[in-house]
Amino acid sequence: MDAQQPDEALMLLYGEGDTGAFELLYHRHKGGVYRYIKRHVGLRLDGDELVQEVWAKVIKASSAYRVSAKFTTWLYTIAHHCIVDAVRKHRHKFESLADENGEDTDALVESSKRNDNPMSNVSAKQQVDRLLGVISILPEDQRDVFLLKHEAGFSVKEIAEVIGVGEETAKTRLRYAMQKIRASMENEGGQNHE
Amino acid sequence: MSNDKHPDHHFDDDLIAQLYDASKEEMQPSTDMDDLILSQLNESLGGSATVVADNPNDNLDSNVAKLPVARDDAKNTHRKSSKKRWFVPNSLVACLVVSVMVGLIYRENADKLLMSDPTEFDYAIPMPSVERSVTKKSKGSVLAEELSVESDEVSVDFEGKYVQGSQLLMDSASSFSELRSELRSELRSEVQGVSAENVEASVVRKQEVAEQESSTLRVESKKMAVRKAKKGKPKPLMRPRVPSPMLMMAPSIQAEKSADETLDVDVEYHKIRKLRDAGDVAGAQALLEVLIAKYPSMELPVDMALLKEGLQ
Repeated sequence: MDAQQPDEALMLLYGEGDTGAFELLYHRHKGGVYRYIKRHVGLRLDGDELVQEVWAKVIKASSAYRVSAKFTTWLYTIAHHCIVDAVRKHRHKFESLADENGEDTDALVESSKRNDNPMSNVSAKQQVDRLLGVISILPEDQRDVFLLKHEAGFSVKEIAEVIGVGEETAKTRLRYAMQKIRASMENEGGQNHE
Repeated sequence: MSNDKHPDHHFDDDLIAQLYDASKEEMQPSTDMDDLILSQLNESLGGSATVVADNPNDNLDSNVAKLPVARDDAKNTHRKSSKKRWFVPNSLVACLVVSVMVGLIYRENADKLLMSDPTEFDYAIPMPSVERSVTKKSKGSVLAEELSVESDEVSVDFEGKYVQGSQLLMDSASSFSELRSELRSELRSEVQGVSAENVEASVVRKQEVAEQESSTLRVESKKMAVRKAKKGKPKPLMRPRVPSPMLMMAPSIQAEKSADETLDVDVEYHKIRKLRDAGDVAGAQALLEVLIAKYPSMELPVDMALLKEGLQ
């Protein structure tokens, strides 16, 4: 099997019963789907279970797969729907943790402003952790579009297609997400420079 | 998405993207999860999928190995289809059982529900239809159609009514025959009385005529015979009773009618013989001619036949 085959061709091969094609597909996208789900739901839900559910749906729907769009669009649409269903099912957990996240956001901003962080000389690792921390406290819809853009590499149009909203809505959500991340990171970066 | 608020800071979109890409290395699914998901893949396909191998022999081995599994898949599919085939009959049986149960419950609780017994309407036969059918029976309508349409009980009842009607009809017929026999006996007595009177009168008249004018008597007899011939048929002694159409259907009535005809012929024969014995052969022959014209198929007695030959 040619490892350079596109995702759609591999999925069609798997629909015909070629499990090697699916394994290749899985190894291509397992990290992206895993991170998208885990960073979306955080510690509020069991991300591993959701990941298994997504791939189980892919396996189940393989016979009915038709090349009408990119495979990644189809794959992340399934993942998005799984997340939405899980969030609806465990809405109370998200509501209780949303307040805590709000407090965390405030604390994050305050700590950035105070510049009393003993780890003032932030390394790249710390910046990555900081970025992931900011992402985790973003609003759910903004976090969703940010992860779809940077994890799956989707355009705004593809993001809108995956989450089922208009392009302008997706673009606005992405802009707000980036502004919040940038503001949080720059505050800390400016304070570190000082 | 440019960083226009803080152009002097280096946290632009590209840097954020780089930082995020750097985080990707840290988070990868575990090998256990990979095995778990790929085991789901094998379970879903049941091993029937082709495993692409570089070695043709491996591919052949995998194809050989998957044959029993594919057979098992075919069996499972057959089981599923056989189960689906029973869905409709099972649902029909379930509907039947439920309807029977509801009917029984309704029947048992009819008193509690202040409802009348639903079964009473099943056996209640409207009277007008039965009477109408009985009337039809008495008129000789088709019995088989009614029997095929009505239920068994209705048929039994209907047959009872029909037997009763038939008995009534037979009774009426027998009473009519008795009445006819009585009338016939009375008629015979009257005819005999009239005949006797006629004989006496004719004897006296014949004697007078024979004594005085035998030729005048012949002329009168001829005139009378011609008048009777012109009349077509002789005036009956008694007006025949016209039976009802229903009674005309019975064969016994027809027999009675033929008996009446025989009685009339006997009377005529008696009259002819009296005239012949009185010597009025021409008058007797004229009466015989009228009688033959009235009953052409009648067999004549010997004396009447001789009289007829004399006529010819």
